[in-house]
Amino acid sequence: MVFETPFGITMVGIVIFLLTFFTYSRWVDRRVWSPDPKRPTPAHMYMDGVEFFPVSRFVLYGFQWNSIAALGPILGPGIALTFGWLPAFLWIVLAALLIGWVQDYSSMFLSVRKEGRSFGPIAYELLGPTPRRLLLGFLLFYLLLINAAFLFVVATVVDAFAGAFWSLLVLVIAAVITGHLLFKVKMPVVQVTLIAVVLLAIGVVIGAIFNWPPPGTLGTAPYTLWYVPLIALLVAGAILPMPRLITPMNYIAYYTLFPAVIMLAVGALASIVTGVKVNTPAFTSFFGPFATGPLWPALFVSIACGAISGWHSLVSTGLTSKQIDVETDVRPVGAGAMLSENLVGLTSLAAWIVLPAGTAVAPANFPRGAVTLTSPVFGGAAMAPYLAIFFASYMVGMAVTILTILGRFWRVTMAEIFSGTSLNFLGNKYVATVLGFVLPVAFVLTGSWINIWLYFGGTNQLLAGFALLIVGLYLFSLRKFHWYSTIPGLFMMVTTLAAIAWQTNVFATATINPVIRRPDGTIAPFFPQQAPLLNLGGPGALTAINAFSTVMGMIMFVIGLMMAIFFIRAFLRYARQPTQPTAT
Amino acid sequence: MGKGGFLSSMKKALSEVTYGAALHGQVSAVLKTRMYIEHMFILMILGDMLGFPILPPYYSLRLLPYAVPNVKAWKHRFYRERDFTDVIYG
Repeated sequence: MVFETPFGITMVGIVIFLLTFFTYSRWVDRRVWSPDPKRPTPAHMYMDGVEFFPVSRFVLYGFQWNSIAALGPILGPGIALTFGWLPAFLWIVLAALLIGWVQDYSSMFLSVRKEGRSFGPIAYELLGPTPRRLLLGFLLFYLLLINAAFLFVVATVVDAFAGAFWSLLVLVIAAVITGHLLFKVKMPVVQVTLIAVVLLAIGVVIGAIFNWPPPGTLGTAPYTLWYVPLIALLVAGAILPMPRLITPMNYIAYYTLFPAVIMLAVGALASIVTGVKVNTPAFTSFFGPFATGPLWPALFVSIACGAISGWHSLVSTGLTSKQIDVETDVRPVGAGAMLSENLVGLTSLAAWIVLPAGTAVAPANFPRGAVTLTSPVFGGAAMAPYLAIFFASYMVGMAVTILTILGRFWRVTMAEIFSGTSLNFLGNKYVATVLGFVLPVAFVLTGSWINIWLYFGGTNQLLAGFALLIVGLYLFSLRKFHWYSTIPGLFMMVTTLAAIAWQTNVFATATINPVIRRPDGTIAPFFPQQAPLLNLGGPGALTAINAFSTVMGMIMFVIGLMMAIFFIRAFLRYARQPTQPTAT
Repeated sequence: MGKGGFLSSMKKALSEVTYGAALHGQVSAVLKTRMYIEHMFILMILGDMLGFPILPPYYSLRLLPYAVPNVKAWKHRFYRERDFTDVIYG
C-alpha cells in the first residue's frame, strides 16, 4: 500500500499544496482582494531606499520563506505523533489548504492596503488603544515562551549530539568571518558564499569526528550546562550590531535549510524504492496522556509553523509588505512561502514516522529519523554519522538564528514598555537582553519540554488567531467576503485558548501535587524530569517552579480572552455602522 | 517563450530566490543601520538648515549640500510612526 512508506503522505501533501496555490488561493485573491497591478503599493508611495522600496517577488519569496522557517515545523510533528501520524498529516494538509497561507497572505495584503503598517498600528486602528497594549504585553510572554521552548530543544539536541555544538561554533566563526569579508573587506558575494559553504561543511565534518562529550556528561536536559555557552552566544548575538553576527549567521544557515528540506523530500519520495517503512501507528487514541491533553486542542498547537504560526504575520507586516512591488505579487510571496513552510513540516513528519514504533518523543530523535529516511539515498551507512550531525545542526541552526532575532525583538519591546517608567532599568539594552534568555530557564526547570512546547504553540497560534480575526474585521468593515479568514480565526482562537487552559491546568495540578507517592512508599515528581530539582530543593522548589508556569498560563489565557472580547465588540461595532469606515 | 528564454528566466528566478533567502535580510539590516546614522547626521546639521547655528557653522555648512537632497526621504522616515512590531529586523 502506498501509505506504507513516507512516499504516500509526501506525494499527497505536495499535490494538495500545489492545488491550494493554483486554485483556492487564486480564488480568494481574485474574489476578495482583487489585486490591481496599477494601484501603487507602499513600496512606491513611500519609497525611501531603506524600508520602502520595490523588490522582485522572487527575492521577497526567498526572504519571507527564510524568515518564517524555524524549529516549529521540524519538531512539532514529533509531538503530534502522540495521536498517530494520520491526525498529524491531516492537520498539516488541512491547515495548508484553509488556514496557514490565509494568515500569511491576508495579513500581508492588509498591510499593503494599509500603507505598509505593521501589526501593532493596524490593531490600534481597528480595535483601539487597549488591545494594542494587550498585544504588547502578550508578545512579551510569547517571546519568553518561544525562547524557553527553543532553548530547551537546542540544549537537548546538543546533549545528544555534542558534535552539533562544535558545528554551531564553526557556524558562528564562519558568520563573523563572512560579515567581515562582506562589509569590511568588501569581497564579492559569490566568493564569500563559497567560503561560507566550505566552512559550513567543515563544521559538519568536525562535528561528526569530534562528537564529544558523550551524552549526559554535562548533565541531561533540562539541567545541562550546555545552557551556559548557548545563552552567552545568544546574548552576544542580540547585543551586537546585526551585520556583525545575526544577519551573516542567517545567511549561512540558509545553506543548511535548503539542502535539508530537499534531502528529506527526496528521501521521502524515494522511500517507495528504498523501502524505508512507516513504523508509527496511523492513529493511537483521541485522549493522549494527561500532560499532553486530548487530540483537540493539543494537536492544533503542536505543529506550529508547519501548519500555522502567528510569528509569520509579524514578518509579513513588519518588512515584506513594505517592499511588495505590485499587488499581484502578494499571493506568490505570502501564500507561496507559507506553502513551502508546510512542505518543511511535511518532510519533517516523514522523518519522524520512520522511527521504530514506541520511540519516545524527544527532540534528539529527529536527526535519527532523518538519517533513516535519507541515508539509503545519500551515501548509505558510511555517511550516517555525517548526516546525523548535519540534521542536528539543521535543527540547532534554525533555532539559534531565530533566537537571536527574538532576543533583539524582546529587548526593543522591553524598552518600549519600561522606558520612562520607574522600572526604566528593565529597558536597558544589557539588562533586557540577559533577562530575555535567563527568565525562560524558569520554564525550562519544569523539565517537561512537551508542556513548554504546547504553551509556546498555544500563544503562537493564538497570535495567528488575532491576525486572522484582524483581517476578517477589516474585510467585514468593507462589507467584503470575510468568512474565509474569520472562521479559521475563530477556530484558532477557541482552540488555542482551550490548549492554554489545559496546560495551565496541568501546571496547576503539578503545583498542588508536586510529588506523587508510589505504591512502595517512595515519592516521585509530577513531571519525571524534575527528579534532580526534587533532590536539590525538595517539594517546595517544585511547587515554586510549577506555580511560575501556572501564573504565566493564567496571564496568557486572560489576555487571550480579553482580546476575544475586544474582537466581538469590534465586529458588533462595525455591524452597526452602515458605511465603510476603513475603506482605502 | 523559447526553451532558452524559459531556462534563462528559471535561472534568474532561482538566483533571485537564493539572494532573497540568503542576503536580502542582511541588506535590509545594513540599510536600517545606515538610516539611523543618517538620522544623526541630519540632526547634526538641522540647525543650519533652519538658520540656527548649533555646531560651528563652517563644518555643517560644508556638509549641508550632501544632506539637502535626502531631506524629503529623511522626513518621511523620521516622522513615520515606528511601532515595536516594525523592528523585528533591526
